[in-house]
Amino acid sequence: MSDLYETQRAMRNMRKAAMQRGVIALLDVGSSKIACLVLRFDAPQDIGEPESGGPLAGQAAVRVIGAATTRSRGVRFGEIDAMAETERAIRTAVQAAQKMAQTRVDHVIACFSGAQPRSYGLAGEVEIGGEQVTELDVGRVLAACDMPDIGQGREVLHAQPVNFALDHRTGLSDPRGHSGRRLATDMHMLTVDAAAIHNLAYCIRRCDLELAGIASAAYVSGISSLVEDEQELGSACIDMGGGATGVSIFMKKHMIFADAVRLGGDHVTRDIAAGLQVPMAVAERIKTFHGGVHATGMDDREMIELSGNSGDWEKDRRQVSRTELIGIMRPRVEEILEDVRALLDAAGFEHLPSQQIVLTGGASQIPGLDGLAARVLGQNVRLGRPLRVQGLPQAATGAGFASVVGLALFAAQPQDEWWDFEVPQDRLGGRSFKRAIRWFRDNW
Amino acid sequence: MQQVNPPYVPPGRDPVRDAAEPRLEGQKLRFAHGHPAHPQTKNRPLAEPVIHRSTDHPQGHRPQPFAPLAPHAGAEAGAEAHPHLHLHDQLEAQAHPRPQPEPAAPRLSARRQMPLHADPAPRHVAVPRRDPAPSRLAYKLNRLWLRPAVRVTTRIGVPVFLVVLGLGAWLGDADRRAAIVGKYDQIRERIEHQPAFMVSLLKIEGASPEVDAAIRALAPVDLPASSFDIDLAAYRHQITRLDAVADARLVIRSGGTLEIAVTEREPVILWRTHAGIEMLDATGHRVASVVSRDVRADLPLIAGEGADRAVPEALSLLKAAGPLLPRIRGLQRMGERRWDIVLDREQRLMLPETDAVRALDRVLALDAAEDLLARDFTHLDLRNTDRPTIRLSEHALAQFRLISSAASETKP
Repeated sequence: MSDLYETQRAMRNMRKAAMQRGVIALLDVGSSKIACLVLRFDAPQDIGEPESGGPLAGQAAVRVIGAATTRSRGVRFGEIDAMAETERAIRTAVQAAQKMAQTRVDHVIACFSGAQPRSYGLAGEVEIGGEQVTELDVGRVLAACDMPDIGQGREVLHAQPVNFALDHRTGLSDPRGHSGRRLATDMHMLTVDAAAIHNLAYCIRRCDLELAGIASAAYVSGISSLVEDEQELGSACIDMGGGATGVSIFMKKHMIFADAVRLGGDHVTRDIAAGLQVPMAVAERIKTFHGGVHATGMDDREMIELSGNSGDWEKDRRQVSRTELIGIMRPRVEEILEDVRALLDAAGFEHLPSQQIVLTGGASQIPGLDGLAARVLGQNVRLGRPLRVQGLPQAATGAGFASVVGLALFAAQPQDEWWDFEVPQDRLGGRSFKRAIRWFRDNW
Repeated sequence: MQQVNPPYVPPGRDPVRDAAEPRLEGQKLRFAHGHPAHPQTKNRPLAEPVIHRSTDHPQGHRPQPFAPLAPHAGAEAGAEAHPHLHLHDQLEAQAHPRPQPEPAAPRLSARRQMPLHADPAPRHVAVPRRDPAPSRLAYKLNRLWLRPAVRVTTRIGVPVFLVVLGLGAWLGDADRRAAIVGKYDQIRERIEHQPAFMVSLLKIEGASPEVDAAIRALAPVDLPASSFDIDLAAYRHQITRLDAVADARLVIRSGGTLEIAVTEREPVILWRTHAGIEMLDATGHRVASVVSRDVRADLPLIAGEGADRAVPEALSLLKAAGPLLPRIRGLQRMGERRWDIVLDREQRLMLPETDAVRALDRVLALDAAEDLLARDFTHLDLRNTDRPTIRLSEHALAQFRLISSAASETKP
C-alpha cells in the first residue's frame, strides 16, 4: 500500500512537471480505437498554493493543440492483449498527434476501460481533539480508512474522498479550517487488475513516454459527459466502447461507483459478421451506416448490399434488408444493456435521488439506442456527448471521444485523491534515512 | 468451390496411383485394376502418359486419394457451419450466451453448384496486412526531430558547417587558390581591355612646352592603356606637384582621349637666393628657375631669406612705390621680418615690420615735398615711425659738418 502511494505520488510529480513544461498527452487506449490528444496549459500558474480545491486545481486554461486517432490493435475488452501491437498503435497515435501539435510530448495520462474494475466504499475516522482541521488531519483520516482485502494482483486506480463528516455534521466537501473533535471520511476506492496497469505502463514506457497518471475510462467519460447538476444529483454514465462498457455513478460531484461490462460494440460487429457471413470490416461498415435497434416497416424494403472477397460471386452479391440487420444487432445491444442494468441494480442506483442515465461512447451512436435503453434501464435516459474543450477538432467531439475529452478535464482539474495528501509520518513505513531526507526537504 | 489444378505430372507417372501406392524406384509396377472412373486406363500401356484433367471426372466420382487435391471435401455439404467464426468468437459466444432469434444466417439465394470447368480466377490468399505504424526507430527520430535544438542545428548548423568545411577543404590547396585568382584576373583583364575602355591619346591644354613634356613624362602607363589602369587621382596629384602647375583637370573622354586641362602658375617676381634666381607667383610659390636676371627683366626682384613667404607684401609695396619704381633695384627681406627697398645709387629704404606701405607712402610724400630721395644719403631708416632717421653718405656728412661748423662760427 505504501508502495502504491509512492507510485501514485510519483505520477503526480510527473504531472506537475508536465504542467510546468506546458504540454501533456492524453491517451485513451480503447478496444476499437486509440485516441491521443496533446494538451497545452496556456497560463502556467503557480502550482504550489491554489486558492481552493486540491493542490493541483486551477489549471483550467488548457487548449488542445494536437489530436489523432488510430484503429486499435492488440486491445481486447479494454485491456492490452498483444503488447507489441498495442505499442505500435500508441506510437502511431502519439506521433500523429505530435505532428499536428508541432511539439514533442514527454508525459502522458492514459485511461483504459477494462481490467475488471471493482468499487469499494471505505470509511475512516480520527480524533482531532477540538482543533482546526488541517491538511495533515485530512491525510491522517484518509490513511485511517481500513483497507479491505482487494485480492491478490489488484491495484488501486482511484481513491477519492467522497464525503467528510465532522462530529455530527456530514456532507462536508472540504473540512479544512473547521473545528471539531472527530473527523470521519468516506472514500471511494476503485481497484483494477494490476497486470493491466503494468502492461499499459510498459507499453507507454516503450514509447519513450512518461506515465503521468492513469484513470478509469468510465470515470473520465463521466466527468466529460455529465453536466454539473447531473453529477450533483446523482446519475450514471454508461460508456459503451468497443470491447467494454463502463458504468460510473456520480453523486455530489464524486464518483461513487464504477464497473465495466465486458461487452461492447465489437461484439455487435462480430454478431453481424457471423450472422451475415461477411468480413469484419464489412460488418463494421454496415453497422455504422445502416445499424439500428428499432425495426419499422420501412426497414423491410431497405435493402443493404453486402460485399465480400470470398471469390464466390453469389456470396459476395447478397442483399439483406435492414430489418434483418436490426434483428441481429438488437439482441446483443439488449444483452449489453441488461448487463449494465444488473450492475446498476447491484450498485443500488435506484436509491439515488435523481436517476439520470447518460449513454456515451462510440457504441451509443446506434440510432434508436436511447429508446431501447429507456425500456431496459429506466425512463431518464439521454445520449451524452463530451464537453467542449478549447481547440478540440470537430472530428473529436463525438460520443466516441468522451473518455479522452474527460481525460483533458481530469488533467486540468484533477480530483483530490488520497495520495494528494501527506500521510502522517508513522504511517509512512519509514526507514529513518528516508525520513531524515524528508525532514531536510521540508525544512530547508 | 475452390478448384485446384492438378500438379504437373511427368510422363509415365500416374499421380493418383503414385500417391496412393508409394513405390520404390525400379520396382515393377503392378496395376491391379483400373480405376472405375477411368475405364480406358485399364488396358493402356504403362509407358503411355496419363494426364488427368479435372473435366475427366464427373462430380462426386473424383478420386480423392490424398487430401491436397480435395481441399473442400465437405464444403458443399456443410455450409451451415460458420466457417468464418473464429475460435475466440465461439468461446465468447459461450461465455455470453445470447438469445438467438435467427436459427441461421439469412440466405437469400441458394448457392448453386458451380460447373467445374468454369474455373474461377485464381484467388489471392488474403494475408491480413498489419496496420501501418511507425517503427521504433522512425518514432524516436521523429521525436528527436521535434526538439527545437535539433531542428535548428540540423537546418542551419549542419549546412553552414558543411559548406564551410567543403570550401575550406577545397581552398586548402594553394594551386587551386592560385588558379581561381588567375581565372579571376583573366576575366577582369579581358573586360578591362575592351576597346571601349582603352585610352590611346593624351591631350594637354594650357601648358607650356616644358610643362607639357614634364606631364607626358609623368604619365603612369604607356598609352594605349586601359582606363582602369590609369589612376587619375594619383596622376593629377603628381601633375599638381609640378611647381609650374597651379591646377589640373583630368577627364577621360569617350573615344579614348585623356584630356588634361592645366592651369599654370604666373611668375610675378624673381627671388634671388644663394642657389640662383627663382621665379615666384603671387602667392610666393616657386614657378621655375631662371639662369640670369636678364631672362625676365620685366619682373621685380626680391632677395633675402624668407622672402618668398612675404611675396604679397612685396607686391603691394611695389604697387605703392609708383613714381619710385624706376629707381628700385629690388626688395630685400631683412631678418625674415621686414623689407628694405634697395634703390640705385646705393640707397636703401628701411621699412618697418608693420605698416610698411604707409611708411613708403610717407617717404613718397616727403620726397614730393622736400625732394628727399634726391639727397645724398645711404639709408633712410623708417623703422621707428616716430622718428625717421637718415644716414648720410660720407661725402654728405663731411659737407654737413663743414656747413654746420661754418654756421656755428658765424653765429656768435
